Amino acid sequence: MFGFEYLLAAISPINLTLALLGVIAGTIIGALPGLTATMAVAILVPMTFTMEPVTALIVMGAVYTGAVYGGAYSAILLNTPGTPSAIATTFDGYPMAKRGDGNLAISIACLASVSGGLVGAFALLTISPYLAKVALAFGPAEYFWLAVLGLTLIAALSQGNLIKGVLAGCFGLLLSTIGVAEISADVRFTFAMPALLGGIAIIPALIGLYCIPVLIDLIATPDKHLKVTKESSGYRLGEAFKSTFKAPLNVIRSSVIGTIVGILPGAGGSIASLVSYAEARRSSKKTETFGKGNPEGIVATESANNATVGGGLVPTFVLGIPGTPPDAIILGAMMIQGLRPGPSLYSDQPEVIYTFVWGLVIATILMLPVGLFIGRYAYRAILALPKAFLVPSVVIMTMIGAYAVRNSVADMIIMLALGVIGWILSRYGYSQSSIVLGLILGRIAEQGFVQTWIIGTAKGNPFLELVGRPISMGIIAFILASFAFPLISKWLKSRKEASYVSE
Amino acid sequence: MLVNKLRVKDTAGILCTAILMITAAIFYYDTTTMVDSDSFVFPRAIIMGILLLGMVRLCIDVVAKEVDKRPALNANYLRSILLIVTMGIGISLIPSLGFLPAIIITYITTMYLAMYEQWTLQRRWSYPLISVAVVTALFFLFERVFIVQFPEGTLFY
Repeated sequence: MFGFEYLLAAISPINLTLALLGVIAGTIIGALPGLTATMAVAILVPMTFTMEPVTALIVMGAVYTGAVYGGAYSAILLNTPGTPSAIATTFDGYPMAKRGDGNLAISIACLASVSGGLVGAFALLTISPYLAKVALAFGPAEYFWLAVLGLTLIAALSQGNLIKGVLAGCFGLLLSTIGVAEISADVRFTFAMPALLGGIAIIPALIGLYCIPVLIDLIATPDKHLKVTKESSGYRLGEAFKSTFKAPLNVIRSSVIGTIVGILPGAGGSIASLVSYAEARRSSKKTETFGKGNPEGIVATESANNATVGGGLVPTFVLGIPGTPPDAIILGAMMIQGLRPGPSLYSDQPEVIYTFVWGLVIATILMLPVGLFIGRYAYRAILALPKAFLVPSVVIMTMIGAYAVRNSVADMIIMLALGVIGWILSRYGYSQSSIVLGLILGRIAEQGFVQTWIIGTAKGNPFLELVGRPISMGIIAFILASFAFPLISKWLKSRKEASYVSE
Repeated sequence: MLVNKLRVKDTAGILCTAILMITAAIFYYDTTTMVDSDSFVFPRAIIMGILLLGMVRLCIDVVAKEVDKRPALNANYLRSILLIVTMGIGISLIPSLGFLPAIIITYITTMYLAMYEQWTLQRRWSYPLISVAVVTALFFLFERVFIVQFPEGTLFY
């Protein structure tokens, strides 16, 4: 069942060497803002044509998993997610780096990524056919509610000012509707500017909203970018291990969420990490420390986004439907290599699939030394770099990163404009993370909502279609619980305190 | 954010809310030209949300007697403004100069803006040289390895 006999083939010297190189390349590419895991895998495809099918798949899997983890570096050290799936890593990673715990944050991210990656890979190895059924059970209504579940995180992000947080989230949702409407193909909110026809791309928006405010503040004072403390050197592996596995439930829950969200075509690592972050925050005893440098936040996001790697490959292999954009490229490469995805893939070509999955497991394990090593040097480089080089280097990376997504100068202008807007709004209490959340989840929410409404209207009851399906009801219950839980726990706490006082 | 404690009324916050509401109103006006209800139902719902929440926020900010004390900025933001202007100029130079010259100019200008240390003779000649090397290396990495097509300047055709 687990294809143990193929483990030896996976650890052949050529597979091992290429997996190691793949993880290194993926980690570096993922760390560069603007270069996504999709781009990392896409660049590699032509190089894999001459390889054996299984070696080609292992290299792509290694690059993919490395790139997803690599996004955490810039999220932690520069407050700029290297990939969209590392958005939530900025919430606690950057505050940790600011207070001098950047190396610890990187080590925690590495351990969490490896744990999540292993859970996703083992799910792919053991229960793929069953999990693929989950993907088929998700319709537009479920996608809509999943997006709403992600949006509930706004409540957590807008500490002290919920209305401003929701307003910022709505602004992000509104930005997501710019461009050609997905269902009706109407041109919306472009105000006769052709540059806006394609809508606001996520990566330039992310770079602008997260990185430009950091640059604005960074250049305004002679202070060091990150605080240097006595603990600022070394891997701090023991401490990281303790922080990561102190709450094993957090790791397991986030990895499972990541695997399941990864299975859903089109959802991806960003939603997985946001939902996991929200859940980690909701169930933590130290809710108020989230967003201020709580390691549990990094653990949740990083284990979830790396779990989507294995999760996303489930529908890719079993149904031929890619779970995430990099999976679409892997699917294309598989077909070029003569592999036909489908339910019988595991029985027809076990030597390829099982060897690949074991290769993915090995690549994920290799990520531990590679990630720690690269992370340490990235942290030291950021600490050592004089401001006169750090600021312009980041400026140039933001410009190239924003341009590279669609080869568009207009995206650079959008990045800069959103950066300034983000800085002003965050200065006056409107969190830029809420804007980003709205921007990312807006498209999924709108598409899900409109499709559900059309299907429901055809069936004669759109409302029932929206709320009446079993999985939808489950997610709605979860959303209501996530709102009710803090209120109930607050009420219970105040009652407890009142009883102490009366005693 | 670079701030210190204590300061006055949340006028800027009120202004931000008002600008968001005006933006939402402009977007609403644009939806009136759309024919298909699938195109405007979702944006209109969000716009209504912004307008309603904005009004609530404005009422709280304007009517409330006690206002949150907003911390004041304690940094010199002239360099920040110049940074944004530099980036803007750098981007606008791309179509005419091409990508590489435009980002080299942006890099060197930003480097001067971010320089808080003493300009020694060695730094005067070494820093710009290193800048050109760094930017050129990055440019070729993206162009050759990541196959990003950068625009060439019309000035050099």
